[in-house]
Formats: sequence, structure tokens, C-alpha cells
Amino acid sequence: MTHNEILKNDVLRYKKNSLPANLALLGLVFGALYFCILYGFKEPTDANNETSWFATILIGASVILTLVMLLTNFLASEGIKSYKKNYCIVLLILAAIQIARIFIYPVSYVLQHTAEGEFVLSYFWIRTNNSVFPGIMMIVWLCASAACLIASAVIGYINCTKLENHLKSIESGEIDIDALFEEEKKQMEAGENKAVNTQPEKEVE
Amino acid sequence: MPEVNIQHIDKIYDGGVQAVWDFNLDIHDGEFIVLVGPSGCGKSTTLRMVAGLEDITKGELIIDGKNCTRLPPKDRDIAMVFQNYALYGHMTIYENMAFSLTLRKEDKLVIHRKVMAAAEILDLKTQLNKKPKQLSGGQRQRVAIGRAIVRNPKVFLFDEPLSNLDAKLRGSMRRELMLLHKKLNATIMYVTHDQTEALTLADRIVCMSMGHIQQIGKPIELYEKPANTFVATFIGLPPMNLFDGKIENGHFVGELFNYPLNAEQKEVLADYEGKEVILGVRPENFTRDGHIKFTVTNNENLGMNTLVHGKVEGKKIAVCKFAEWCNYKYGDVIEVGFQEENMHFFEKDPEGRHEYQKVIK
Repeated sequence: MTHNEILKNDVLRYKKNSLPANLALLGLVFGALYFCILYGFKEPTDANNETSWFATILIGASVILTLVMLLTNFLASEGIKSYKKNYCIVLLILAAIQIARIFIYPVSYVLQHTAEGEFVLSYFWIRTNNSVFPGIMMIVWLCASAACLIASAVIGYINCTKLENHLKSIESGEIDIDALFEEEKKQMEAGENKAVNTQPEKEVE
Repeated sequence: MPEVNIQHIDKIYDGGVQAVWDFNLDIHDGEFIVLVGPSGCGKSTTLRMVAGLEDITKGELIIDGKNCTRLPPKDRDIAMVFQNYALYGHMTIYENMAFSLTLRKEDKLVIHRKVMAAAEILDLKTQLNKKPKQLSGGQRQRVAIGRAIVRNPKVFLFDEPLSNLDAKLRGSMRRELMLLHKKLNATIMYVTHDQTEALTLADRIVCMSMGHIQQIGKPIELYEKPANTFVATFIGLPPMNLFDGKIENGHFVGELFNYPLNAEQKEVLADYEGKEVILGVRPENFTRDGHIKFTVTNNENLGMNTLVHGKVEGKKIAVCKFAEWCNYKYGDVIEVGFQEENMHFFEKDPEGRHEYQKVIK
């Protein structure tokens, strides 16, 4: 391992695992965009397209699931920020749920609504009536969310492993950071001395 | 070439109040300059003008040959350490120290090397993952200094950095600052109202009052050869005792006592025959073998020496410092004199302010 490689790992000791944490948060944002569309147009209707108490309960359950997902996503982002490896698994599970969600409602919606409808502007979204557009957008957001969560989990895992190995190396005495800095300092001083010695001598009048 | 050249700088605020008058100073490379003076004397204003936090009304500021009079602070290549540390509470110590370099978009490894080097110098390596609130005052101040060090500036500016610390910590931080100056060989401008800090830290002291420089010199020069009564009373603890009087027939004739002058003093004060002068004597320059009656009001034993407060001839309050352990009681009358070689004489200009009388000897 070169000095730079060791130092790159050493930086992890003092820096938060920001990139995976931010990716996880981005995943959360995409998830939020998904349910903005979902609750923006979905009427609490049952299979016969009629409003019923059962459909309302399903919507309630969906809202609760979304809230739990958001909370878990946020906690996982905080966990991965402080190099807790287990949260990578949580992130992967969340990603799997997001992927599964694609097949629960948006895909069936796209298959059912093939006729084109008019576009209507709503507060959060360009809403369409009788169009496949919202279904496609839900799929896009869910895919984006899942991708961010998977990336977060993978990068987070890599960083956690790097830091873990680095700390082990320090503990075992395999790597001595102080000695490394000392060596660099000496090399730098030697370089400066060399530069001074190789300067052409001034002519004495 | 001097590292910092401050040329005849004035500071006039919008309301017309002039805070600094004709400040002129050359600071050499690696020099530790301390600006000292009472509150409101303009020392912090001067420092802030050097930092670029205050506009310079008149005069020029040259840093390493470059005219910085109108340059914004970020382009002056200086680092300032404040009294209140100014650390970011939500960042770790590492992030606080790395912050300025991160803003400059320096390479992560370069930042890491610089932060670790500064942490090594300041003994902060074990604190790097903590938040500022988890550190003591002294450690926080060290972080603030570390943040300045990582930038490797041309000049360090310190604005009363130890004032928030308790007396013990201030002492240890003072020693650390001295070591730091030796390690870095940096050019430092340091503002304080604490004369102990000034005397112990400075290569040269700039003593200020009412926006004017009163004296610039090495600490020992300000102590032994004060330029006026202000410097004489400001530098030294307890302050110098001043006695009004006249020079008459080779004697200092005061309201309270007469004191014979030696040959050298007579020669120096020959032009002041019959004129009013001020005699200054530091507390440690009193002797216990004179003829001046000194009525003791308080006796403070400090271990190595004793501070004796009292009244000269029962009237003028004065303080003596004796190297011995003394046990005077309230009301005891002792006879004191002065060490002749350490008597200071100042002109007495009736139109001039009492605290700014010029030194004669």
C-alpha cells in the first residue's frame, strides 16, 4: 500500500460517510415523489371501482407503510453516515421493497390505463386523467429510489470495510500513521535541503 | 523586507470618531508583536484593519511587499484567531480545522496532511472526532489556532485569544503560544490588555492609549525605560508610584518629602532646576533604609516577596514590593528610600495630561 492509499483510508477515521448517507436521503426524496403521485390521484376505490371502507383501510395501510419506509430510510442514512455496516442491509431491504412496490400498483396501473387523457396541473405534479403517464412516473421514481438505496448500501459497505480494515491494521501495529507522517516530513525536509544544496552558488565579487 | 508594513494608518468611523491616529509600524518576518493597552485604546481596531475587517481610512498596509490597503480579507493571506473561538458547533474538530481548506477545494489528502500536522503541534490528535462543546476552553482555543495554522498564512492575528480562559489555563496556553511561535517561526500580531501576556510573549510591544502609540520596544525597554507616565503606570504590576515635585538645589523636593539626587541625576536634570517634574519609582525599587516615612495599611505576603500598601508621609498612597517575607501590621510606620539607579523622572507640562508626561531619565 502506498502512503496515499493509507492516508485515503485514514481520512475515513475523521470524515463522515457522507456520500452513501446523501444517496440514501436522495432515495428517500424519490420515494416521497412516488407517493406524492400515488396519493395525488388515487381514489380510495375497490376492485369494482367504488369507494368502500375496505379501500379506505388499504389506503391507510399504504400511508403507514410509506411513513415507516421514510423513517427507516432516514435512520439508515444516519446509521450509514457513522459507518454502521448493518445499515447496509437495511438499505438493501428498503431498495427491495421499492422494487416490489413497482409491481404492486404502478405496473398494474400502466397496464389498465392505456388510453391517453388530458394533462391537468396540480400542486405537486402534472396530473393526467386516464393516462399511463402517472404510472410511468411512479415507476421512474421507485426505480430511482431503489437505485440510490442500492448505491448507498454498496458504497457504504465498501467504505465501512475499508475503515474497519484500516482500524484493524492500526490496532495490530501493521500501520503506524504517526511514523508515516514523520517519514513524510523527513522526506520533505531532505527534499528541501537537496533543493538548497543544488542551487548555484552566488558569485562573490 | 518587513513582512508587514503599517504606514501612518488612521481609522475614523462614520460618526467622525477617530479610533486610531497615525499608527506606524514595521513588523519583521517571524516577529511576535503584541499590541497592549486599556480597553478602547484602538488595538483591536488596528488588528481588524490589518485583517481587513475594518476599512483603513488613511494610510497604507503592505503585507510582504503587496499593498493590501483595499484588498478583501480573503486575499490578504492572513489568519485571525478570535477571543470567542468562532468554531462551528455542528462540525467535528477535524472538520472545523479543515473547513477553510475545504472551501478552497484543496485535495483531500493535502487537507488531511495539514490538519494532522496542526493537530500534532497542538496536541489535539485525540480530540479530532469530538465536537467543540465536548472540549475545554483551552482546547477550543487550540482548535481555533489550529484552524489558522492549516492555512499556513503569512501573518497570524490574535485578538485577545486567552481572555476567556481562567488564570491557570491562561498561563499554560501562554507557554504553548510561545512554543508554537518558536516551532512555526510565524509572524504574529497579538492584541491583549493583559500586560503579563505582553511582557512574556512579545518580541516587541506596542503600547497604545487613546488611539495613539505611546511606545514601541522590547518588553524590557518598556519596563525599564518607559517613554511616558502612561507606559510607566500601565506596564508593571503593581504600577509605578508617581510623586509630584520640583528640582531644587540638587534635591527632588516633593509635597511630602525631599530626596537628594546623585551626581548623574543632577547632570541629567540640570535643565529642570526650579521646574516641576514627576518622580516615578517602581514598587520593587523601594528600599527599607531611607528617610521617608511610610505608614503601612496592608501587608500581602506572596511567598517569594511581600507587597506592602501604605501612605507616604501619611498622605500619598503607594505600594512597595520587598523581596523578603514581611510581617507589618496596619499602622506600622517604616522608613523607606529608593534605589537611585532605578528612579525615573518625567517632565511635568502643566498643559499636558498628567498620564502622558514625557520621560527625562
